[in-house]
Amino acid sequence: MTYVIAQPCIDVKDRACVDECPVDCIYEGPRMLYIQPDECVDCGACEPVCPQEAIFYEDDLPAESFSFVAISVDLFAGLGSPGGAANFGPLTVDHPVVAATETGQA
Amino acid sequence: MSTDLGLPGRRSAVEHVPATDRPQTGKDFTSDQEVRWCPGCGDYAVLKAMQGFLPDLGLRRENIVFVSGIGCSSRFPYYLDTYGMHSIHGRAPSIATGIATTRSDLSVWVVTGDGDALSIGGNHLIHALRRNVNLTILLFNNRIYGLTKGQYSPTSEAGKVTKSTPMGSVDHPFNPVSLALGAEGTFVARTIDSDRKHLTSVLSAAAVKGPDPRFCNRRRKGCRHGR
Repeated sequence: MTYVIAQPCIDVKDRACVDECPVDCIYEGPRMLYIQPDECVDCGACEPVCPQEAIFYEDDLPAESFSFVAISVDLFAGLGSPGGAANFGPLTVDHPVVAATETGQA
Repeated sequence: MSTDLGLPGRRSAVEHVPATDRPQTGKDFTSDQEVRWCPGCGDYAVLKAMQGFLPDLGLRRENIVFVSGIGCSSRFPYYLDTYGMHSIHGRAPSIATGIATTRSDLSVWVVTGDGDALSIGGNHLIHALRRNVNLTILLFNNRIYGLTKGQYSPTSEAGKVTKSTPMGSVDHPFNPVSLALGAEGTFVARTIDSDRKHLTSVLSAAAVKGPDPRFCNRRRKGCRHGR
């Protein structure tokens, strides 16, 4: 189980969650932020600070956001566990589903 | 005059603990209990690191026991699918001493906090250390009593302002590592919750080193009551 960032983050990227995360597991893509599911320790610090209310505990995801669980897993399947977003730097590409999302659709 | 008691020399701490015969994952060590600490607490990171590390230890789950005292950190055994006991305030080292001395086939861990270990159970801690019992003590040090909403603890820095010390605490803090070394704990290490790699390496070293009591002083970065 882990926390997941969903579509309200797309093209917003407030980053309040990044400052709050004690284990630095929130990675920045070109259009949205992603939580590394293996590095997340489920502490819940990010969820209340998101002004977009884009962060959900996996079990509490609304039905229209279920796909973001797979999006996070897929994205990091290739990247592995970089061990800290600050040192790793921003991601160069979004997940294809996020990249294809039209602005304003969310 | 002294006599040779015939005590065993240095060997692996898990020498008599049966190894598992099937592969384990972190999920095998995750219980069905909802984890309840404050958002952002370092305890989550320690729990996750422990659940990630225990499969590497390769022991049977039924031969691992976590004994805790009272406090936030002492909720730890609820969340691990091993044997465990949420015991008496400050007395976890004593209960663990009993378990470890009667059951050499168990890997015995004590999970405690700075208040539980160094104040309420100060004497139990130092005597468990000096008695050379085969157990590992994890001390989660957030330098505050978090569960009771933030009173200064034995590791709070001098001058700490809390609701119960509005003018600042006048006490000089314990250094837990010095205390453990003073009691002749033979494996003493300090790590931090936010560095998972280092945390895991310390857990790993502490779990198998020697038959002596081992002591990990875990500095916790995040505690909302300590900010």
